[in-house]
Amino acid sequence: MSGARGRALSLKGCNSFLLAVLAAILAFFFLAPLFMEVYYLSVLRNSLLLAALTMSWFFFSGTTRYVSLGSAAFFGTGLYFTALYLEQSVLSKHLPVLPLPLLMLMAGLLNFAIAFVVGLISLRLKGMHFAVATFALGVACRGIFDYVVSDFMGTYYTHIPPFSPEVTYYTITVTALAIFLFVFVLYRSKLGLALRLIGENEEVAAHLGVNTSLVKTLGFAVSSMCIGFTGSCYATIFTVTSPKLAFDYQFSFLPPMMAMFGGLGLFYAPLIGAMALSLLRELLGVTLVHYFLLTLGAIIVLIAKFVPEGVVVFLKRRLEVGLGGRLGRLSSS
Amino acid sequence: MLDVVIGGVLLGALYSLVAVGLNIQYGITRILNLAYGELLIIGAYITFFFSNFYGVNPLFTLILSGLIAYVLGILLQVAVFRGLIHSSSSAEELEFKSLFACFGLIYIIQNLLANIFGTSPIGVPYLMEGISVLGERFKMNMVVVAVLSVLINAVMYAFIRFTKFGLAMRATVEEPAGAQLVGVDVLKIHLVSFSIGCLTAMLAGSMVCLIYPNLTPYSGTFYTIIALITLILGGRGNFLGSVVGAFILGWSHYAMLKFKAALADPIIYVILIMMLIIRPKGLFGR
Repeated sequence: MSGARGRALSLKGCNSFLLAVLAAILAFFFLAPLFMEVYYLSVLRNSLLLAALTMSWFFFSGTTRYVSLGSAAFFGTGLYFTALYLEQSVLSKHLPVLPLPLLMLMAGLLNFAIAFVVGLISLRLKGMHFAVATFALGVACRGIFDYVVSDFMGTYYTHIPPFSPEVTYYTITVTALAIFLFVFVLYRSKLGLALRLIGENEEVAAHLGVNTSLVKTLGFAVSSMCIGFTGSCYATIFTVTSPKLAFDYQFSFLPPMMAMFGGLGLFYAPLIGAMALSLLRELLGVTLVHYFLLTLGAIIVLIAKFVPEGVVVFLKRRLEVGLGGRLGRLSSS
Repeated sequence: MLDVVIGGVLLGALYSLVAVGLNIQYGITRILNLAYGELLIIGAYITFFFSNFYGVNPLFTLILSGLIAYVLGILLQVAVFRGLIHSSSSAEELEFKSLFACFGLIYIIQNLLANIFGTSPIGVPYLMEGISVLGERFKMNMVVVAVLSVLINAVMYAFIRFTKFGLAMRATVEEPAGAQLVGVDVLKIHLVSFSIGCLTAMLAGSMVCLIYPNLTPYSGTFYTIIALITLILGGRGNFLGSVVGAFILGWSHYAMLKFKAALADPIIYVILIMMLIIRPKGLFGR
């Protein structure tokens, strides 16, 4: 795939420059609580969380083109597992109080197991059928949790012990950055290569000796595990949660939308697209909700019509053409 | 027991109208219209607007809703989806691109409606008195809506089955390239099929508005799912299959609503997932 090769070349060429930018961004994220107000901190962490969700989605659906509309199922399961455990460990004496990272790991592994089973069954479906099946999975999970929570737990709302803004911020930031790194490493690994190959042409991949059903199931499970991590750390934001909030449709729709906004051809395109969109959404979406979302919808329709490969991918190509191949020479030197 | 059977049939009739538009849109043009439920909600708001502010009889607003829907469908197809069809090399690519465009449409329609009408629930309570059907009591509006749905479906079926245009539509489903070869104007077929899909969606929306008094700009997703499930039960481009699927769905939904309301929604998704595993090509798929 040309995207991966271009990435590798430019890494070689502008290695030191890229590293410096990366270090600056990392330093910014870690020092932000020192000089930023709580409100802007929450904007930053929510955008990071959505970007992490998008990248987790991208790792499977963006590479293989098996569009999953069921992120909400795994996001909500991760969130609810964490919330319920936190509540129960405070209320009852039977459960030990576990540190948050361990809980998040457990939520992720739970999702991995669920997604492995779901993947084994549903990944025989293709295209629109897979999309609809996963969409239904998300909504079904919400309904079942609704039923279980309101009938067996007594109350519809689950109370989570509050966390301080700094703890929330660092939990989400570290998780998001770890997911970016994890997805990046896996994307360039053999598993990522096999997934991308399946996205290009599944029959060819099978002929080349890729065990397609195993790779797809594994990819789906890993992607869902990362979604579970994001859902789990989302629990630190709230003091009260309910199935309606945890399994909201928007967690199914936002990841594919944000990833496609950036473009699916390059590793960093969905990341930049998701960060840009979610920052805009957080900053403008509070004061002018309807007008902003209306404009956003119009922009997305225009992009789908005129730049279907995604904004970041399109800009990169224009930049390369505009510079007359200077970027290419720079990166190959 | 009898009331579950009859109630399920009434609900199934409404669902068959909800589903038939998406089946036509997806079956013929291969556009996976995720904004389908939102189009349906536009129909509901048209009925609400005319009957609440101008005192038009709610049943008469169906005609207005239909007219607006047809024009809107043509505009949407020409402005958004025609370009996607042209630039896509395969049906899978078109599905992928139209999915993205539909996310945008969902945002546009939801927030346009929220801007104009606000987000509080709406509804046009009409013909709320009871009527007896085979000895069981039902609301009059349920029965009227079911009869109208069956009528509209029958007209659609006759149009597709017996007219020359319908023949061309069916030919486009079976063999797009071959249809073009024998002189079918595929562009026109796509345009008309998409608009007819919008038309039935918004008619269904207008009728949903008469029954349920709690519609908001955000309640479209449920109807998108109903339509998608019926599409999969019936099979792509299979008109009668989708009607049968809708009745199965309506009956099981209604029965669960009577038996255990909290599980009514999950059960239809479980039906869908099992269906996809056992017969992914639909009940009558070949």
